[in-house]
Amino acid sequence: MIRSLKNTRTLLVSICCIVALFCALPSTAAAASDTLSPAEVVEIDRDLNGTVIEFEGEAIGEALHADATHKWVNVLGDGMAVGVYVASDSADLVGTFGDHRHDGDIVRVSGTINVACDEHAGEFDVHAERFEIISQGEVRETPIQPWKAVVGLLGVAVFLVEWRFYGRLKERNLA
Amino acid sequence: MWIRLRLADLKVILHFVGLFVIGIGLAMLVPLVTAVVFGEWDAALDYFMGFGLALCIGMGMALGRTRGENVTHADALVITALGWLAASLIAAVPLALSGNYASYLDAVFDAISGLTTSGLTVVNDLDHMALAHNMWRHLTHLIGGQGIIVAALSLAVGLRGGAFSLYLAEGRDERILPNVLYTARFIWFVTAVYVLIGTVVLWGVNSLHLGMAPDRGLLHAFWISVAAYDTGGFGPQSMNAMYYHSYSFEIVGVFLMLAGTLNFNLHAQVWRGDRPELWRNIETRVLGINIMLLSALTAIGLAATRFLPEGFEILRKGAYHIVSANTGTGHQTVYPGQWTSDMGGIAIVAVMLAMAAGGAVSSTAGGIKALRLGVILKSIVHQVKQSIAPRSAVLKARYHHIEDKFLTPEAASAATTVFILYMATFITGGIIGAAYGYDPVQAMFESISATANVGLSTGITSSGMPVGLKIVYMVQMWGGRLEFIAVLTLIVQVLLSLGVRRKGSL
Repeated sequence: MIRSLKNTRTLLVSICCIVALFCALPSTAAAASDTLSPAEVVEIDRDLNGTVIEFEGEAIGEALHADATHKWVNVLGDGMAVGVYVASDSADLVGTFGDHRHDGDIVRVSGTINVACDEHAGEFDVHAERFEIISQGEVRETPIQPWKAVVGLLGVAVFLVEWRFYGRLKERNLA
Repeated sequence: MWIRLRLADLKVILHFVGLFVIGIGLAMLVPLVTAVVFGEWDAALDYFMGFGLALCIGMGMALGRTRGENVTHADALVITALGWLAASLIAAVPLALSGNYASYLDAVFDAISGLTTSGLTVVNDLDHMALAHNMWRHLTHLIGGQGIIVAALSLAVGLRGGAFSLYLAEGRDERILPNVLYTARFIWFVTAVYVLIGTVVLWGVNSLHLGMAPDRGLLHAFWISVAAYDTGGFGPQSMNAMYYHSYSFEIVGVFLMLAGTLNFNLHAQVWRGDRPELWRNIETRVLGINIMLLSALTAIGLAATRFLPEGFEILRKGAYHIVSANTGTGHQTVYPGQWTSDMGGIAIVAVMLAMAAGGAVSSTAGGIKALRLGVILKSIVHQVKQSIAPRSAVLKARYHHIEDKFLTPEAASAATTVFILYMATFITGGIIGAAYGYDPVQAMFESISATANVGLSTGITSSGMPVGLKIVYMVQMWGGRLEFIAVLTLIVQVLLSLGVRRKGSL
């Protein structure tokens, strides 16, 4: 009797585990495909306000002090950037921020989205719970195009000729 | 009777427009030096090329006139309208070379927006833009805010004959000092003081409070001070004022925006020690009442939508955007799309009214202007009083603007004319935007923002918008900055010239 009860309990636990696994699998898959871009975060369905979202983008500019324990990291993607309120230790992991000379580190942020944050004067922000660097930034190529210098020099040369001509015309008119 | 321009007039016009183009070329030395200092050699070449082209083209135009003919009033209007257009076309050259604009037209859009202190932008990838290009974008606010003519006058670039006509043609209504040259220099002096104060304070905020590197902190402080004081609205990052996440930043910004929207004549009075003028003046009264009423209206709207949770946040967000709109600045701490998705109808209407109303005359602000609204309101009250007064009664309306003045029919008519021109342009731009398939409210918002040189956007303005609409907004920004008369004069002269050419007499 006790043995059959144990078997039944084992069976039930096994069924529960399998059901739980099946339930968890689609949600994990969904989470993996639900990584958003910052532009999608800005335009997110307002019903998701206050929920945890995950997105990826490039850290730009610099980390700005928010308070004693947190910093702001602005994360760019698809032409829009979102302010991420993140623990200073995590923010300090960013080695390269995007600017004219650099592509910044690509970061993955998981955190609570606030369309109008209570804590930060109604700002649109994301409070990071997880913040990781998924690829390092690099130096951007900014090729120098010598033809621009040639056109500039030609322009200055023509200007000098015109300037001399203008002076002569003025002298003639005065005479 | 329509007065046509003669060939001699055209030579004078070309000469002065050429001088403005040279001036823009010389101003490019500032971003050129910035590029060299920060080792941005690619951007340095953009400015060297722009500099060379501006000097060469400008001097070519200036060659037309070598005698000292005076500038007539009609010439002054055409010089001003063409001068702003030519300055924008040449200022766009280095921007177009930057790689941040989809086309030369887009670069011209930003150059016009910068010079007219509008702040609408179609730039791509602003967050990776060179420091030199950001310096140039903000410098266009500084040049345009004070006025290209004022800049030329203050340097005394051969504009003495007809100088006051040129000064007036640029949308300035008042001479502050007896000599127009000193007036122009005073305008630059006031600007230098406020921009310096703003830069020092914001540098402190950026470096000490936000932890920015000293050089970046200084550049951002200077750019934001220029953009706020000149009521421009550009920002060095795509997030605009949101990038900084700072209350201190917003407070300094509001101070600079309000200072920039005040009449330079009023600044002069206050600096001479006449502080009561600040609250006796009809302009400051209208501005103050307008900002308070519309801030309250915005707060009601935001409270109704429950977008913001607390009273202080509602007030802060509402007041910041009303000040930004009313002063014609356009700095914003919400995403463009949030105007329609989160802010609610009442707040949008309040912001549109604030943008349309604008700042003071003879300031860096755009819009209909507080003095004109004050005069029109006084005129309405006067009409009502007169209609209920006995027939034999002679009523006179007065208002105070630097001195006590009687409300004359001419003053009321001039104010109403400009009011009608602005309203017609707002509506026309809105209809065109709607015809392109945009939401009518958004289209009207954007049209008012462009015409009143504000720069707030609901998201229509972008590099992807139709070319036709870009051109419409460019014309609106140009016409709005010059308060239409100079642009209308240019159009009439072009039409008259075409007519003359058909008859074969030119």
